[in-house]
Amino acid sequence: MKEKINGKALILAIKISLWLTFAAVIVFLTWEKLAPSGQVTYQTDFFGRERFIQNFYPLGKVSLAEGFAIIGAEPVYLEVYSPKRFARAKAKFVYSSPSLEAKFGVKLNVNPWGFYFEEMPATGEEYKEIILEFDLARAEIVNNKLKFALACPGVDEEGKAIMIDSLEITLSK
Amino acid sequence: MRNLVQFLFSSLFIFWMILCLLEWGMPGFAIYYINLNWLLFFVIFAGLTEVILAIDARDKF
Repeated sequence: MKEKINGKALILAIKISLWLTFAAVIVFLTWEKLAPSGQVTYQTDFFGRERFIQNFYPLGKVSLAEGFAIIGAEPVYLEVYSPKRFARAKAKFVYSSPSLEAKFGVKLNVNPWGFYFEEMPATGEEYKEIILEFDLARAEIVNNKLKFALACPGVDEEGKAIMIDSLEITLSK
Repeated sequence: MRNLVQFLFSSLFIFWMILCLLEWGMPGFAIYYINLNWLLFFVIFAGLTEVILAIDARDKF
């Protein structure tokens, strides 16, 4: 009899634990979606796939090697998950572009090809850090994703490429 | 045992449905954290286990 009661109590405990776990997962996902801190930061160092930053595409123009994204042709695009609409985006690159100037921009909702670009100067042989800021008031958000583009005229000439070591995107109110 | 598996199957199914509905209404709500395809796999696995146990119980009866 005692064993039967203990068995029923155990099953009840398992059931309650399971539903509490599900409730905790839903609460966590809701918290992440609401982003109550008003800011979210995503980063990638191009080792494998990242959750919230889709790596540069189309794949034929980009190669990933030992933690670098090597841009061999342009333009290339990037999508970043945005849990809600934010006011500003900050993109922090660590990159090397020996002789080429590049531009990085956010897709706007004004027309199908509208981007707002910021300049990325040539760095010589070194890796340098640059922070670019964007106003997201007119940014296009499709399925909760922001689209960015990296343009670099001349990069598809022989021997030229841009190497990106890491990228951090901060979305804020 | 069968009671528990039944509960597991129905709970997982309801949880998966809730996540899919929330994902449909708010893209990105769950898919970046939970692989909904894998969760569906577990739902189906629990369902099949429950069916097997039910058949087994019926045969014994």
